[in-house]
This record gives sequence, C-alpha cells and structure tokens, in this order.
Amino acid sequence: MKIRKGFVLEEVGDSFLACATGKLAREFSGFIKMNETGAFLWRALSSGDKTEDELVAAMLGEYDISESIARADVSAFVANLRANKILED
Amino acid sequence: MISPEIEVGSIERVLLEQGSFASVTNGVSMRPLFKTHRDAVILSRPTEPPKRFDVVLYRVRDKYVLHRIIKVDEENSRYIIRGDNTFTLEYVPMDKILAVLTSFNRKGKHHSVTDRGYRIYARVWNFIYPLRWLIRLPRVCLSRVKHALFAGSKH
Repeated sequence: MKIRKGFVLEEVGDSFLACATGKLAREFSGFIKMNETGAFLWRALSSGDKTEDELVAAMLGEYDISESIARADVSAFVANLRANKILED
Repeated sequence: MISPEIEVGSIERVLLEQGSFASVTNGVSMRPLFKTHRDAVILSRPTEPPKRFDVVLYRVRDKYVLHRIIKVDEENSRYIIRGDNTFTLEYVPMDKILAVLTSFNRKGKHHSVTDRGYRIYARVWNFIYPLRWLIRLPRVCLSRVKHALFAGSKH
C-alpha cells in the first residue's frame, strides 16, 4: 500500500498538514493534520509500497518504543488513511 | 484562490481552532506563482501585522481571496493588495486579514516565504508590474478582435 499520488505534506510549527493537489483535489478539499509520528509514517508510505510489517520495522528503527505500541500505532494510522481513501494498494 | 466549494466561514473556524490550514490553489490570479490545483499553500493566523509583499487571505462576501500586499496604508489602517496576475488594486482594512501565507508546495517542491529566491521573486514581480501590461496587451487585443468577429457573425 502507498499514499495516492497528488498528496503533499508540509510542516507547520510542530505539526504537519497534508492536502491533495492535481486531479485528486477534485476528490479531497480539506486537509489532514498529523503529528511527527504520523508524518514519519506518511513519508514512508509516500516513498513507495509498504506493508504494515515494514512500517512497524521503520518505526522501531526511528523511535524507542515497544513493538506492540508501534504495531498499534501503525494499524490505527493505516486504518484511518484507508477509511478516508488516501491509500492505494 | 481558494477552492470555491469551501463553505463560507469554515476557514475562519479552522484558523481559530488549528492556527493554520492547508489548501490547494485555485484560479489564475496568482500566476505565475500558483497554478490551479497544481500547488498547495499553508496559511496561518498572523502572529504579527502582515508586511509589504506578504501574501494574505481575506474574504469578499462569500469568496476567499489570496493576494499580495503591495502597500501598507498605515494612515487609513488598510492594505493595498493585488494578485500577481491581476491588474486592479484591492483596498482591504487591516482587521479583515484572516491569514498569511507561510509556506507552499509548488510543482512538488517545498518553499518557505522566508526563502531568498521567493523573496526576490515577490519584489521583482512587483517591480516589473508595468511590463505585465505589455505582456497582456497582445492577448487583450486578440480577444477584442475575436469578440468583434464573433459579435459580427451573429448579425
């Protein structure tokens, strides 16, 4: 899975905002706000196809957290993106 | 410059709650900087009074407008504003400014309004304003000719 082409992510203070450009802008008119961890996962999913396991591994490499917490975070984040049709398989 | 489908008042509400918001660009009035749906802007509630050359958001009835301050009229507490691709001046009371452009994504690349290249663009583009008329002139003439021909063919 990966983030659909057309989304851009911008850093604003200590948060991150993503919005759709190009053809996708006809589908998405709002923006998505996320924290640093969300942006880390977002970037991973923008750079190419990733599985949930790969995202968990990436999180464990970046943050000092347990695998169960990383897995729960990844799963919640991915579910949220999927529900909002931001991901493509 | 901001999507016409955005509900009136919604940007004010988001700015109040979040401080900033992101939007895709819409319209031709800020060309060549922004092109419809190609670029995205990050707008924030001003933390200090906007200055000359800042790009600011304000509302005219139910339309949100994102144009550039070309003069600060302190005496009348207003800004004189113009789109990078428009030829009319807008007079906007200072307290009507909703947000200021802080960064943007143009052709897929991040830029901050503090970037040197962008700051030079803003000044140069304003400085060569009279030349923009010359660039526009052939297009205006052509459209008048077309209009005359089209109007003539109806009779």
